[in-house]
Amino acid sequence: MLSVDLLSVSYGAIRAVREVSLRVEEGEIVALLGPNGAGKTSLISAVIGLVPVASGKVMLGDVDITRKKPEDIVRLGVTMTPEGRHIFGDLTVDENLRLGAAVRKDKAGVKKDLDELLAMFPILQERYNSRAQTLSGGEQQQLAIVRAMMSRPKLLMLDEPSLGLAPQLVEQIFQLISTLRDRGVTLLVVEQNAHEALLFADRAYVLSTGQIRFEGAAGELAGSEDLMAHYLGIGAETGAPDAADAAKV
Amino acid sequence: MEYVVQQALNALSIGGEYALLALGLAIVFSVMGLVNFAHGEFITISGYTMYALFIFAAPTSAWGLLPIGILASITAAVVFERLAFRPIRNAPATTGLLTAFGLSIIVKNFFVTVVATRSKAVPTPEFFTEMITIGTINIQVLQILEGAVTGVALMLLLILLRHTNIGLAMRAASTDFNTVRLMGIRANQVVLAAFAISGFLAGLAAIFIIARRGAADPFMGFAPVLKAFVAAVLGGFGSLAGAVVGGFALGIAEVVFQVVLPESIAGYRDAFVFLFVGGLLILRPQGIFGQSAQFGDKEG
Repeated sequence: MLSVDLLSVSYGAIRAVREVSLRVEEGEIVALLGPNGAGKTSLISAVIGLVPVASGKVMLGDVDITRKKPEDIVRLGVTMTPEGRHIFGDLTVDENLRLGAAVRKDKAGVKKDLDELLAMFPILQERYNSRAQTLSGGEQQQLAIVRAMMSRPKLLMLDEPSLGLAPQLVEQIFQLISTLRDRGVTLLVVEQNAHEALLFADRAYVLSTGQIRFEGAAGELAGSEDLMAHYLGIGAETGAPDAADAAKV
Repeated sequence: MEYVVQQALNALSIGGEYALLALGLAIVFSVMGLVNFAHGEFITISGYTMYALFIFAAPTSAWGLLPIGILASITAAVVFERLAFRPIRNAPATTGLLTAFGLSIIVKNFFVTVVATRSKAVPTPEFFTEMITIGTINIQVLQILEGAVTGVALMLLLILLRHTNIGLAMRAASTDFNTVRLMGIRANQVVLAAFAISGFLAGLAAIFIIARRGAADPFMGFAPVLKAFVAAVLGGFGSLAGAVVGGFALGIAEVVFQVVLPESIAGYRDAFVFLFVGGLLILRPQGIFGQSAQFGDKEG
């Protein structure tokens, strides 16, 4: 579905992503792991057109989406929830979700998707007319995900969905994410929280200093303490390296 | 009693004019962070378009000039965006500011060179200056119209911002334009809509300004937009509700000072108004509706 070929991203003299190639097949959940500053966000931001591609190629099926505008890429069926959620705080939950479906013309389909998604994420139904900035961190993350789903994407890229969430919420968010696959969406999940992400992913890539260091089945990476320690610099039992972040919900 | 009602209506109509202009400034600023110092030129272009139509087409009724005046202002806003502001959209804020200044100077001097420095008469419907009597109170039609039109425009804008995708996108873009693009909404459309609305509101204000002055001159947009800037800052720059409240607050303050100041210093009214605004801003530097930081904007 998505194939990234020798993609590089530069900010001035700094090369954030260096000739990275990766593939995401239809129906997969792929985790893109790596420490802070590894270039994960730069990589998916370049895929969606928010930051300029220095070199390389991004294909969605047989369509070349390299250097297209984000709005055009979204209309082709790829979307992304940015790191830090970026819900529209001044708008209500309802208004956020309407913007999520702004590109769709099938009103009946939008209504049906909305009803189904609200059934899956009941807290959003409860807070439907509240201003989004009054939602808790976990609720805002759910809103960001459902908002992205409202455009009915073929490929959804989630940037750090567990960032800033309490540990018990992290598991809940990942469980919700894995149920999205049943709605026919392919997922590319960027995470620092490798342990949780690997429980739900099929395959994983590890990115460090802008380069792919590992690619393989999620189970292979998760099952090997050596690999985990080597590529992600974490022991098997300590959990997320961003535990400090997780404390402030 | 009659005096009080007269002055209240005065405050409302002046405040309405400032609100329309301040709102136009605020919409463009909130969507793309541009302080459009060329906003007054929408009024000037509107005035000269009506003048040109009056001279060359010689319409039998002045009513026909009004929609053309509004249309001219919208067109000017859209053309400015397309030709001047779009190429520098991602440049630093000062680039936008200087571009707007440049545009403003170009437009003013265009009219000075091509038409004249002195003002040119532009007719508006005589109906505007008629007086109607309600009980013992005489009111000029223009004042009632100004209040009513401002009210209707604000209501339409509210509906647009609440119930249409482009309106929601404009509100969302004020805090997070990139994420709006991730909804598949075209950045160019959002910016264009913001400019078109800004031009439309300036066009409405232009009609009333021209009706009161009865003429167009190259510098006619300067004073009203200066006041609109003050109103927008008072309300909290970038806040739409703030622009409206700031506009009316400024209108009311002007009329109050006009009334209470002794005749010998009434000429310094604006100085007193600005002093009052300055005092308010010392107490509340971010303006009435301004937020010093956006809560929930970015965490983690």
